[in-house]
Amino acid sequence: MSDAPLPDPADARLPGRRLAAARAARGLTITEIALRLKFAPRQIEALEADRYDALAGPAFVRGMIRAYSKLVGEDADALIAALRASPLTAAGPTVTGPRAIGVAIPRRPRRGSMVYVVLSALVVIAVAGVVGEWLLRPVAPPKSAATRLALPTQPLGVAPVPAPAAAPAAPAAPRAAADVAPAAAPGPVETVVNARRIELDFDRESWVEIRDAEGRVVFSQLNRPGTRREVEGVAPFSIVIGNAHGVKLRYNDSDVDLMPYTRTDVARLTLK
Amino acid sequence: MLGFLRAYFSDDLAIDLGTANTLIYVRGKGIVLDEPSVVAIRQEGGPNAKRTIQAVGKEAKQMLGKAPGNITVIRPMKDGVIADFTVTEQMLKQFIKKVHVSRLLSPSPRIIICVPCGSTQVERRAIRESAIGAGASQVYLIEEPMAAAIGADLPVAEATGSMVVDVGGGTTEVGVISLGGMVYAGSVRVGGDKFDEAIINYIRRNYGMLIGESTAEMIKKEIGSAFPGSEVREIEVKGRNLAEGIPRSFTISSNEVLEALTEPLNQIVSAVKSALEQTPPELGADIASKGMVITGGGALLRDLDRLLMEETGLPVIVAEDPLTCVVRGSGKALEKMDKLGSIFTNE
Repeated sequence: MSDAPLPDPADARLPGRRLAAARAARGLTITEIALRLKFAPRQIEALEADRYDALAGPAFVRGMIRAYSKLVGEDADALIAALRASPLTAAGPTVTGPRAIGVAIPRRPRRGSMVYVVLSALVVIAVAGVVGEWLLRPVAPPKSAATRLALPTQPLGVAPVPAPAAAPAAPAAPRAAADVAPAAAPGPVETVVNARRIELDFDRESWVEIRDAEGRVVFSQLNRPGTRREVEGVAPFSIVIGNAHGVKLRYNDSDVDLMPYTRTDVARLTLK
Repeated sequence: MLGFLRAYFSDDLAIDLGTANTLIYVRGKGIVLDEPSVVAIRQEGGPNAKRTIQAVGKEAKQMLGKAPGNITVIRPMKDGVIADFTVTEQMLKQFIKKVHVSRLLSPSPRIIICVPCGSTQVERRAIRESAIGAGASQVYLIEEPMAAAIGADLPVAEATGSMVVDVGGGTTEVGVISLGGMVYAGSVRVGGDKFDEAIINYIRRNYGMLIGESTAEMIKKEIGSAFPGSEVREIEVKGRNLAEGIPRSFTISSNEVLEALTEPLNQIVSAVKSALEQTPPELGADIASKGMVITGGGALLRDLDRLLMEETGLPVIVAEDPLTCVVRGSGKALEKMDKLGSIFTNE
């Protein structure tokens, strides 16, 4: 507004000039008007001089003109129209929010929730590690094959087992294996499968149970007289034969005499 | 993000849901509705007995005090807040239907609605929900002094104190605004309705005559004043004589009306003084220099500005077109709704 051209002092159309003239006609002073309207005399002087930039703003200038015109008996609407037509009128304030830099303050997460975030991340990482490990682990060969690979080559034949008791025979087997192992260890691991065949001929009714090297029962049943059975598996075998007098045993095409292992008609022996 | 699409298709509305009048501003069109907040409801009899809306707005107001037994004329707003939720919702729905053209592609309007600054959360929620029930997609609330200040072209966003006194139908709101926010907000449940009530009571007490609300309002508009002036005016009024029980006419003067209005006017003066007492001194200095601005229908009461001037010793200015200040301010806020988050109130 300060850039606007100065008003012509003789321009009687301006609202301030008209109000001043009306006041003078009524014989009132600026001080009396200021007292009635509760404005400061300098504000009344500014209004009469049409120096609107010295006043609070367009809305207030219009309000002052209305109040002043009512006091001196002027037509307020005509004065407001003259004000709007004058080049000194500035546009009213535009509706804006207060001026701001416009940087949004980030919402800081609370410490408590941060702890939960960290803990959750750790749990997720741990679970991901376990799952990855499980998915990426090398596929292990079947256990039986591994066993077979680990077994050293055994000479064919029946290992002599102390005759009197079958009970000591069981501990004897691991010992024998232990004896063999150091011998085999220096050399390359042999991949020959240690499979053996047992043939049984029954003259009398007999019950037979055969366990293989891993202790699994590979054969267990009651056999009728005159029958023949063949069993294959991984040596050494642990064998129990009932009614042993009526049974002939062949191991890898060699006859095995059951008499030394028989006690009260039950033979217990280990075949290597 | 799709605000420009919504602005293109939807006519958003700003509503001054006042105790006496409801005004609606449509984006891009200006004030399109100004009707009294009155609803006439007809109670039907017979086998299909139901309540139907007979009229709303001006038509309903003409029925006020003249309706037969089966028509109830209700003013659903009282003291600036909702007194009858269902009827308010129906009234809003009817008003919105008048101004909002329902097209196939047009979404439900977003609505800015004014609330008294002294209203409780429950009262604000009731206003919000009645607007949603009337078809709004979203409702934003703005406090009346803020809307009135924007409507009166006050520099609300600047670092200077602006004081606005909005004398409405049910409440008088006093607000001190600076930097786009309310520094002080006060509200007294005194307004145009209380003025009418005071005139009715005065005439009954002093003349033994009973007059209706419409007559009291007419007396207030014709000869009511808030400050004794040199000119004394008179008006002839007709009412029912309480002793005889028959209609009589009598004459009442402006000085008598002033006497009748003394009590509610004193409450308004007290509210303004209380606001000035609690205003920070820097802002008080701004107000002392620029003056306070009166808006609302009550500002049309003769010499109310003079009364406040004499009582406070501060300059007082009556806003231009004070009746529509609040809705014009809400309309200005509506035009820039997406950028003016700070002026709306949260619940």
